[in-house]
Amino acid sequence: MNKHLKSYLKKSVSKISDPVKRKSAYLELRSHVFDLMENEVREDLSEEQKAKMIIKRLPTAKDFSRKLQYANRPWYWRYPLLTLSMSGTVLTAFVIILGSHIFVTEYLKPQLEQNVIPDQRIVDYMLRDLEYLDKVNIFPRTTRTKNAAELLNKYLGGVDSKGRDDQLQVVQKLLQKYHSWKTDPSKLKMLLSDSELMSINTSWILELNHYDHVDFTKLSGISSKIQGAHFSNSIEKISTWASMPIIEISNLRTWYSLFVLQMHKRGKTEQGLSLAKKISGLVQSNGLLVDHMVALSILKDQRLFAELLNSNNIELTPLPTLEAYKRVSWAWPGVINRSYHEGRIPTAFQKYAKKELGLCAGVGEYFMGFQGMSDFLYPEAPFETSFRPQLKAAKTLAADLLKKCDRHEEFKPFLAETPEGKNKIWEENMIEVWSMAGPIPFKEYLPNPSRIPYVRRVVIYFLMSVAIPSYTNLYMDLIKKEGVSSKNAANSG
Amino acid sequence: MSVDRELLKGSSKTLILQLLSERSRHGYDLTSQIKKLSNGAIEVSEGAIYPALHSLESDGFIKSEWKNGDGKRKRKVYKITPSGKKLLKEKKDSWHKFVAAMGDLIPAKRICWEA
Repeated sequence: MNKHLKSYLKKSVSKISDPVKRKSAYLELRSHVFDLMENEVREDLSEEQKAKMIIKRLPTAKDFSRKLQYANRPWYWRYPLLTLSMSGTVLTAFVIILGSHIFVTEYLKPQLEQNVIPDQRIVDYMLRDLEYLDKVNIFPRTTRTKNAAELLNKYLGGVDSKGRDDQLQVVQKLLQKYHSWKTDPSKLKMLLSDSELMSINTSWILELNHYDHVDFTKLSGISSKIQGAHFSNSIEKISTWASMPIIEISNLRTWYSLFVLQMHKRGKTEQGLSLAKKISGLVQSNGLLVDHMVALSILKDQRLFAELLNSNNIELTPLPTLEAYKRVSWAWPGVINRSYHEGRIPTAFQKYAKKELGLCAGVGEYFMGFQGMSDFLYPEAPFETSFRPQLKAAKTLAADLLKKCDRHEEFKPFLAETPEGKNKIWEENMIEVWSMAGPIPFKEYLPNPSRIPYVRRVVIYFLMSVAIPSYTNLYMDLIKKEGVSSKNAANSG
Repeated sequence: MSVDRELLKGSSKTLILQLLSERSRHGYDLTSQIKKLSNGAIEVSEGAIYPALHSLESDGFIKSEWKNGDGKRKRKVYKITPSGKKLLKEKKDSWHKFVAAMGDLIPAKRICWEA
């Protein structure tokens, strides 16, 4: 073939990117050129002349190559919108996966760990308190044969109003009338002289002597709610737990105050005061953090009333003991939360992990935490880190801790796996979950964050970091206080 | 008299499909047939026919194979596919509508005769 024609054909197909197609086009055009030579060019012309004629008839090599390039462009250039949208989807997915991974591992997880892992100084102080409380044992473990929950519910209010004694309002009104009676002796005198004081029946408080523990989960209104949680998803379980009817246990303190004043009027001050230990023990046996605080406040009231009513023959719980118990009760949730992350209670705390030493304040606060996370972490989507071993360890630990707190049977429904089909993408009760991130105007059918792969890790870590208050503030205050006093001592020394 | 190239734009693929619906053909055959059948009125250049053939093949309306032609050399022969037949039908329908509409709009000869 003539070199000019050969060069022309090569140039014409040069822009076809696929080498197979380029070769094929070259051969095809060459065949066409031969046809032209045979049929449309005079035979008597020289090869050179024929080639010139053919090239003159054909489009320029530049134009031809551009047209052939366009006709043979790869598929992704043939469908630019499809290519663009596919690239966009892949890029978005990549950004979401990588972004969520970085956000969780670099920011949220360290922040959460910082919140849940107490400072070593706090650990030292807490261990010192626990060692001390283990010796004094202010709340000995009770037997669990006679539950005072029904009796307390009747007088304190909380779960349904059926059978409730509404004298509580009369008691509150009377004490509010002399609101500063605990600090003002004249007001106390006036209260003791008020004719209404003795008209209120407080004899039911003496009945508490016949009970050995309190377990509000046995009340039908609460127990049925817990049972219902068995077939719900994680978020619904947390919702059930958070919306559980609360027995207004702090009202027991009000009733007890009135009871002591009445006993004082009857000349039985010591008998009235001595009941504080029994009542506080009962309240503490229910196990929640709020119960611990009410139990301690009743013992503090006992000290106050002994002083106000000049009763010197009663054995009072020392104030440092009460303060130490308050601190450990508040700090246990922090230790327990950390334990769920690690799948075990830290070694130093293991021998103190007892109901008598406030452990259940932490267990009650946090056993739902990991349960609530399970729908967010399992089953894993591709490229999501598997948290299966941690969840399994946390669940085993939760079951073990609930056993220590006598709640393993009652709270079983909370630890149950989410049944198939119970964790829908669109849920009606998502408002509470999303509202934690900020107020939103929608009420119905929001997307379930635990069903949005990759994003769900960010959501759960965010929710957990929002939901965890600082339980170790009391120890921080103590550290500051002791730091100042030791500094002062050093300066004066 | 040759047809205005502007009128031919967009019709070369229809012409190719029409000819391939009759039988398999190679590029040179197509150009010469178009010229012959239109009595020289329509000439589709190589710069139009090959890009159109490659484009139709990429879209799956035609397929090709190399065949020995007249015992001399190999030729790339194109054949219409079922989707090509479907496209041809659509193009033809559209073309007929266009011609009819144009005939209604520009009835030059009829107007002259009536006048």
